[in-house]
Amino acid sequence: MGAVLRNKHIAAGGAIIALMIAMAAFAPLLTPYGFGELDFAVKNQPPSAQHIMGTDPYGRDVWCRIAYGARVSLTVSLVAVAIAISCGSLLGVASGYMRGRLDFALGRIIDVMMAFPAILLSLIIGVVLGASVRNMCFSIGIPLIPIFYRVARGATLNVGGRTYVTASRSIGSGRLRTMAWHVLPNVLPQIFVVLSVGMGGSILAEASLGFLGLGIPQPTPSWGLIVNEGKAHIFAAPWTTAFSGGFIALTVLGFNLLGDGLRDFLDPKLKGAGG
Amino acid sequence: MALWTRASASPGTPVSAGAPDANIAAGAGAGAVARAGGAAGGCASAAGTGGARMASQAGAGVAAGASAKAGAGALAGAGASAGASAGAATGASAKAGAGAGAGAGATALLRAERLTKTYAASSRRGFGSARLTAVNEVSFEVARGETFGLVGESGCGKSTLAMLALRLIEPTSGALSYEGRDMLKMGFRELREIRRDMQVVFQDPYDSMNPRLTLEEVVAEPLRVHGRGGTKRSRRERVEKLFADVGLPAHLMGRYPHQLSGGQRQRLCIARAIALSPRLVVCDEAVSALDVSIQAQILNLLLDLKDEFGLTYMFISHNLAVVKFMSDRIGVMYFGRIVELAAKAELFGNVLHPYTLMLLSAMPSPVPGDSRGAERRAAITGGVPSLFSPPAGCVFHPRCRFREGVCEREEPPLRDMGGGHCVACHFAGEHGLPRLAEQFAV
Repeated sequence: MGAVLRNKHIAAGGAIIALMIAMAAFAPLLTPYGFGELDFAVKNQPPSAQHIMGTDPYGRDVWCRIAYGARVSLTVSLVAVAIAISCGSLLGVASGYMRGRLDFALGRIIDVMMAFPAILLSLIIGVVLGASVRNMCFSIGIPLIPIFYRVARGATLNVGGRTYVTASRSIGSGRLRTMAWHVLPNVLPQIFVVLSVGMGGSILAEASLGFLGLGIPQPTPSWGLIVNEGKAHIFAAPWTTAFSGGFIALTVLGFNLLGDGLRDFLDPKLKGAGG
Repeated sequence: MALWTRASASPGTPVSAGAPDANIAAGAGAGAVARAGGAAGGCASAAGTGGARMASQAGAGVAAGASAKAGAGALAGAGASAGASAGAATGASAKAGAGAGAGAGATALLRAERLTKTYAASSRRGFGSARLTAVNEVSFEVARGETFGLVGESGCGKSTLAMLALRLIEPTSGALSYEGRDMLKMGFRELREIRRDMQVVFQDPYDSMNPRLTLEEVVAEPLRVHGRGGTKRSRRERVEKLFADVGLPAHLMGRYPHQLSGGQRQRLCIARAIALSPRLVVCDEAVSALDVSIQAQILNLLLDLKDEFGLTYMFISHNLAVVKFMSDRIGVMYFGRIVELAAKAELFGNVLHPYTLMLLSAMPSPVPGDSRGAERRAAITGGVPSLFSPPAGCVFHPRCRFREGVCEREEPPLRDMGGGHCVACHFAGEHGLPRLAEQFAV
């Protein structure tokens, strides 16, 4: 564990994400108001001692909504990306290593998925499954699968041609073992780099779904929703979008650092190089 | 003189690098090499027609014991052990005449018959696709305890043949058997059992280890895959022993492959290859990526291990000098075919194929200022034809200085010229090649 944290990227990224999660978990303790409390007397107030991040057009406390909104946003994006990474990379590695018919079949399915804009696919899945936090994870995660699939498959095509993979076969390893021991560990670092893209994308997708009415029902806040609500008043009350957007950016940055750090950490060539 | 002696196998001992072939010639000369007659047991495939091969290694491991079953073997075995006590190193191959032992085919460890591998490849112009024949009806046998050398220039199909022999790629046609068991009919489980017995050392030591595993994990992998080595601790002891066997210090076990030098990596690959106590080790250009002094160390290590564990090698290289140093029998490949196949002394003493002569002439002279240099170089003419449009008739005829009309029409079969010396040439023995070869005395 100590070795992991000595990597500065992992430490910084991990700290940011830990803070976000703590914020979501302890939201009731950190906020003076309820996230749905309307107070039209103080609508569109700039940041002040009472409302440290100002208020939105309905007079709700922005900090409050952001803290509670982290629950939905983090859950949805983490779970969605977890779904996309696990499905995408496993299918991608299998496809790239086995080749042949499996590769062809999976490739065409992924092509079909990529033919739809991600948001449209999310909408379709959202409509079919209905609006709930769990279903939102699927409707956001599934359209992300092709990204991870393609990265994993491409990396596998490269790794699969390396001599050590042949060597593993010559020892008598089966396909599963070779994939698990030799292919996947050498493909994962490239997937970690895409991780940050997926995290950012899924937070934004969650916002879009909320905007289109397929998100979490009101008044439960989510970061994307807050950005969307503030958009109409961006000149009159820029703090709403600024702070919620800032948290999204910070979270994405956290995952970015974590992804890069993990890639370096898993590379034995950089071990002991003070990284 | 004897720079390439066994003693130099210890790691870290600097071996002075001179002209490589001079060293090899010295090493080869130092070993007592008797002619292994009838080695191939018939050129193409016929089982049992050949003579008993006795290529018992000094040190008489498993292999020597097994092949001593043959009637003539008793004598030959005695000869071999005599050789061993005399300290003759390079592999004392006892001669056993053709037909001396019945059922000789059974002693073949690995046996390939008319192995062919073709690939679909898009042609240069980008229209349609062409078939490319990488290995064309190649037959050979590797006898227990011997080192079968395979030599040929780049792109002649040596490595493809190695992959085929291990069934790491599927042949397009042909037959392959290990100890008389048909390897091509084996399912995964059976093949896995066989793989415990046959291992491979690859050319590129930089690419043949997973960069994310520690050296200990790399060497322990075969043990894990086959459920050998028992507990974690006993497996560790086994790995330590293997490290010692190949001359790597045990403190490297926790390191990663990128922290090793090329020679150390190749030692590690060898440790992995012998982890399961295999009988056959295929060395696919195992020393080609190393510099000359390291090559010498690795070759000597391979010879030591052969003696210690009774290994059989299939040794593939484009370097005739290295193959000569290592092998008991040598097959010469050209354009996906074996064009000449004979025991080492026979091959070098009695060249029958013009291509082999050409290869010999390409070996640099150990004598500085050799006046025959220009003549030697002049012996090499032309280039390898495109694999997409193989020449009709004998594949070598466009480059052959002895070609006649028939060479352009008919493909010569690989035929036995006596004593297991096989050659694929219409005029084998007729164009006075041996005398020509003499001037390239190697």
